[in-house]
Amino acid sequence: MAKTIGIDLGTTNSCVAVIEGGEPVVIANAEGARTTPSVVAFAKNGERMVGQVAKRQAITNPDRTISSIKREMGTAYKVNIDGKSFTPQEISAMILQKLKADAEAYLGDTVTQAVITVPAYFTDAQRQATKDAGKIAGLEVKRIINEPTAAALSYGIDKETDQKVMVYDLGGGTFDVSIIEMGDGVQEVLATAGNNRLGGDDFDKRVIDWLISSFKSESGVDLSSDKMAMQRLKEAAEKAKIELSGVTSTAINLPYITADATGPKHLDLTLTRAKFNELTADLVESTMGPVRQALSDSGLSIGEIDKVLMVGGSSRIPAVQDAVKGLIGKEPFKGINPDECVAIGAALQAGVLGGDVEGLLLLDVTPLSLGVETQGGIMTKIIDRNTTIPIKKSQIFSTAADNQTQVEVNVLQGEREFARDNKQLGLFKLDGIAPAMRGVPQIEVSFDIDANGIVNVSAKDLGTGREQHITITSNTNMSKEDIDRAVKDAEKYAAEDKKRREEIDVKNDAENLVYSVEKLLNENGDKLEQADKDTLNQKLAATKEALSQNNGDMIKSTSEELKTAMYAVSEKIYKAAEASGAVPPQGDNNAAGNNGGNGNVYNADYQDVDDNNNK
Amino acid sequence: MPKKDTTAEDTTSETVNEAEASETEKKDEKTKKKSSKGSKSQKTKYEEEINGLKEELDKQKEIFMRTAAEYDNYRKRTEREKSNIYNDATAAAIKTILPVLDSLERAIEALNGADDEHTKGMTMIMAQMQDSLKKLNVEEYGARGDEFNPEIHNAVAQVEDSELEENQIAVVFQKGYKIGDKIIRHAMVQVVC
Repeated sequence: MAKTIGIDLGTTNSCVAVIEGGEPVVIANAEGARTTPSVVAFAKNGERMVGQVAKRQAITNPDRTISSIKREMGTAYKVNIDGKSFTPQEISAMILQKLKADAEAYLGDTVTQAVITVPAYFTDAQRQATKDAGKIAGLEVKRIINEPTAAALSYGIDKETDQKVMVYDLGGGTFDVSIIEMGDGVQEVLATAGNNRLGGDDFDKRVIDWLISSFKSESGVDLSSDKMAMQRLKEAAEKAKIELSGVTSTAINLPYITADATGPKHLDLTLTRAKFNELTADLVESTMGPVRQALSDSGLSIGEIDKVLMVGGSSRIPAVQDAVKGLIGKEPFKGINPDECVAIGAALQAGVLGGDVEGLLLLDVTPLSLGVETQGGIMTKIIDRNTTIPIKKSQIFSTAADNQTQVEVNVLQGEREFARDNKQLGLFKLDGIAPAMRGVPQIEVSFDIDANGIVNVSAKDLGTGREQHITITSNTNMSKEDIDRAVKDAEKYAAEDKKRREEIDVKNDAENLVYSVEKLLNENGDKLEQADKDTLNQKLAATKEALSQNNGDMIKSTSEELKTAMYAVSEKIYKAAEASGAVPPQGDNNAAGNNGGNGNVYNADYQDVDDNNNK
Repeated sequence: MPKKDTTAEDTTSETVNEAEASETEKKDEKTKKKSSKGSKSQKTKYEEEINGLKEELDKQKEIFMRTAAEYDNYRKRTEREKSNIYNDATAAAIKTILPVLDSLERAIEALNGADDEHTKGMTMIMAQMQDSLKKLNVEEYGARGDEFNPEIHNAVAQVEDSELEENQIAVVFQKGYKIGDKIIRHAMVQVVC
């Protein structure tokens, strides 16, 4: 099923995205990168290269490598290669072709339709040229949309009430600021301004210059004439700039940067954010001019700007964000990857035009985990939170005591380890279970959540076929705050809960073990030597004592000893049985502990009507 | 058909005879149908409902097909991605460590082959490093004289060189590394012009 892709055809870099599963997804290119340099080159033999590979040979082939062709769209500019002449749209088409091919590889299907973005100030001629480029590349351009509009779409602003939005786009080589009115069916460009020769590279250069001069004053050596050193400085400068968006100080450590008569030289400098801001202050200030211009052209006052969106890699620079905030007085929106939000917006538009978003299954999830209470007052989750619904899941449980003829199904919702810390959604009993030893009956508990979020919980005795169930309708009425709180609480108490859970597990394991050993003694007492019987009884008594005292450490150590003793005796029994050809007795499958030897067999909590609640 | 006749009768009888009209009305009631106008709209109602359901069904089918197709593609792509994950992860990890390796090489070079314990020590460290990379299937590449290939090399400068041909690599600034077919880091080179 053909999908419409969204393309950000940028001056320096391009990006393509598509709607998948209702969500916009950025498509990585064949080399694995999420953006592709907008560079086209013709090798000596006429072979065409697009993207990173073209960039890598640019310096060896300057006359046949074309960058920033976007600057020439809509003009009569021509590129002449090997006697052939190419228009800007033909060059752009080559870039689009690569993006198309990468998208097809990702989607496993042909792509014939696209939405492409252009700057808000593009003229009709420039927009038509972009559409033509698409056509040449084999794409039907369903729509051309403005880059600031696409950015606003990615933030969902079209779904909100009418508002005035400023988009500050500081990219690879260009700076654009736009003021648009958007929302509630409205989309209008009020003003645009910018500087199309200002970008991230300029910031890098300031750092490189500082590194050269700092090193010179320290060592007397001028690195600018050393090509190899300059390469390392260039990389280090870009890396430092990026790091300083996150930390306030970074070490630039380049051992053996050069050598002279006195030996090797090392560059070891620290660049603080404050210093970086100082080095680039004028660049940041130079972007404020166009911002003020756009405001004035739009006729709006600063207070009338409802939102500011940050677009373009360099908009990540803290000084830039501070300057914008300082001028506009509002915190800028930067939650969506600034390198990708234009492509994402284009993809959202593409989705609407392609009928995707309309025809899509909007999937709900269950916000909190659902489960039942099991032995020891623990909540055993059956459906994890954020599971997409509708969903049906079952698990087999069993009884906790011999001759237990009834189980109580306590339906719980929440993330805590213990039943009592979670929300009870419902409670029902399944009775008429045929009397049997603990762990033998098979009770299948099923959770069935339908598309509307209604939960049906049933318990079925696989032996008798008897079944009971309960329908819960309003569990999704928890507010987002309640849900968030439940999840946070679980995290907060995770360590505590875990510890208590482990204690309970140890206790459960010990109880199961005691039961197994007693069973073993009952069934096989006659086959055992007195000494072995005595050891077992001794260890058994010790474990029981520990359990009655509820001493965790003691329970653990005594049950370990009991287990060892039991294994030793079991081994003897098996060997003897082998020798005599008799069938060895079936050990209790639950002896291994709470998880049981059968993996998923839990002991369902029960409430005998006569007994006190022993939770 | 009888319906219509009845209707015709109905209308005419209404204008003619009250008694006759009530008779025909009783007939109508017996057959449990109202006026033919009512029965016609009943049929239309059913038809409309059926058409509505058909449309809905078609729509649902389409949604299902799209979702099934998307899921299928997603599954296939995930399989491909999974099989590449180990190499991708290794490449990413190694790439971060490569600057250390570069520095180590430069350090050894700076020792100028001196015959002392420090040089020996550093050389042994390098050997350890090479061994580890080998175990990870990481290979280095890029040498003077190689033909420049932008797929695997990154040209950062040009230089004249009488010993070599145009488009050959004159100097390797930084070695290239790959794991299988995947390039971890392109070799940074100076090309003969």
